[in-house]
Amino acid sequence: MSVLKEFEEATPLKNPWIDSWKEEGKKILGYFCSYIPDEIIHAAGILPVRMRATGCTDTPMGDAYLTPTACSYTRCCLEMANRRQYNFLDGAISCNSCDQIRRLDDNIRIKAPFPYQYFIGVPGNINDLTIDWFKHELNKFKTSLEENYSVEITDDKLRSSIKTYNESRALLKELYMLRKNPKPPISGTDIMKVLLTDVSIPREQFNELLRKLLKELDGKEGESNHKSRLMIVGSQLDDPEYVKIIEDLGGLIVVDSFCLGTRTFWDQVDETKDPLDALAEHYMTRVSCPRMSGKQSERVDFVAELVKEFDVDGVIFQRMKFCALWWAEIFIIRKKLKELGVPFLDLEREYVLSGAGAMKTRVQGFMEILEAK
Amino acid sequence: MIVAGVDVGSLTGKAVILNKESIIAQAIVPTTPKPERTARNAMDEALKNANLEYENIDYTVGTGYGRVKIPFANSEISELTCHGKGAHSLIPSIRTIIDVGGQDCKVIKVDKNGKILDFAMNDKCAAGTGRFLEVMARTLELKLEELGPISLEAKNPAKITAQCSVFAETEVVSLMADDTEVSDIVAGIHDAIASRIMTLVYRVGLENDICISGGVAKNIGVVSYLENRMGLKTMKLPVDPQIVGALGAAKIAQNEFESQ
Repeated sequence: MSVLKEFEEATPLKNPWIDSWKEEGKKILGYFCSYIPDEIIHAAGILPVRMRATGCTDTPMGDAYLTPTACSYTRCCLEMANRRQYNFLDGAISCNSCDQIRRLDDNIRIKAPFPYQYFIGVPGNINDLTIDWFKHELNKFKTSLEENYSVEITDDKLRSSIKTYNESRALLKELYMLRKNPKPPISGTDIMKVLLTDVSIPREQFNELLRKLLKELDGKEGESNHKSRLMIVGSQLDDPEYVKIIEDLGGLIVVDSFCLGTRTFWDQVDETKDPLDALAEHYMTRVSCPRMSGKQSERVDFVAELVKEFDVDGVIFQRMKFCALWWAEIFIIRKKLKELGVPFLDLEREYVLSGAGAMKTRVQGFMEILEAK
Repeated sequence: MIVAGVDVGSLTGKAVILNKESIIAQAIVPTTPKPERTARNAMDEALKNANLEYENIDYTVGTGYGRVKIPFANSEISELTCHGKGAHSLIPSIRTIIDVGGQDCKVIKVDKNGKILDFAMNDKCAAGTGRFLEVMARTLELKLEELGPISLEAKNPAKITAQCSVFAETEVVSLMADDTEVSDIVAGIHDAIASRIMTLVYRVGLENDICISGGVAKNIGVVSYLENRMGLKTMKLPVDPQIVGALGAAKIAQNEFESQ
């Protein structure tokens, strides 16, 4: 059996690893954003899992509490919280990713509070002062975890967690390098399952699985007879089915820039520095989300570099409807790609996969542009 | 070589039969709940007009949202490529096609060879499309084809600001209750559509020459309000603008048949 089957088991909201973790009586914390350093949660002996609303179908309550013009990710999460779908979690960590996530946290506290909830303030611009401020925020978060769960998060524990996470980062990067192959041994749909596993199971077991996968793929060539090599850029995406629709139309995803993908693992955390200093610096200075001010050109350059490095034919910009941060990124990225002669498709979507027909028309039209080039 | 293009749209099905450069028959039929039936109805009528049978057609390309459900089509191509190809084959100087159909609206940019370079489509919403006009005509108890000419009679076009066709209808009902002149309401509706289309125009950009295709291109009010907002004139297509997608599909059918 391919190890990919094991990754697939991690794609639902709850998975077998979570079940056995709970059976051992250990704690699990959900976190809402890639700006929350899960290394600190890991160092407390707690399992961090990225918050998803997998399985959500409609959002009557989310619409009422957050407005129908909030992004569907936040509305779905509130809906799931209210339907007690997150009962397997012992708490949730949020931050000011954007106003919508911030207000989601506020409403969960009233409507469906977790036993433990913590909010980390993340600076919106990056300089020495704000990195220092973020370090203090992380220190407060660390103290809160220590007090609430009666654990001590020593520097040694933090260092060891950083090391384990850096190992994941290196392995993921190694996996991505295989996608540079003209016939990549792994599809974008399967990569989505790996990325979901990355944020849904215990770290050590993830690294173990990744090593198995790399061994399995070693020297292999893909069978895909794709017509073009695509890159996905944009906001939160945690649905392998969405990627599959694109790949079924003949485009193979070979690289990405979004918050479950390259942005989180392209750079390593400095293991030589004070651990909280290193974490604050890493999270503040790695390739950013559009929530960060003044970093547009860095983000765009990152996409442009990956386009070259991975021989990308076209870029699919997927963004959640009503995500103002990503919406306002369209023309910034588009301009750069136009200069490079790389076709660009702006694809609006909802968190829950719907309107597949309309999506197929747009993707097919885009594939026809790429083929005619 | 006789080929056909079939475009199964949200409100109508279209078929075009081509013999070399000339359109020998065309048909526009209402959409049925089944895409294959709509395609069949359109094709049956076009064949009847041309005095031909299915076996006389060498190659058929399907397009439109129902394109994957056309049993007699040899291949399927997205309506984006087909509209680009169709409009460009009619007027080779065309670089921008604004297609306003029953449930979607798109702006397509093509190069000098008619190949699409870029496009933008409306997102999940019927505002700014043919369906929106149908709903408004019903609310105002007017015939669809009366809307355009009436809109041009307006003295003080009403402002309709809702971003959604359902809420725009509510606004129209309020205007009617206030005894606003029908022509002013209709003008407001047309300008609202033009405004929605402009959002897509801004996404892709404009390049002359420009044409408008799709059923809504037959509405002189939408064309006129849109030209005003763009500050540019559009080229009038030498065929029924509703068949441009099917024509493009037929043109692609010729190419695909030849390169077989």
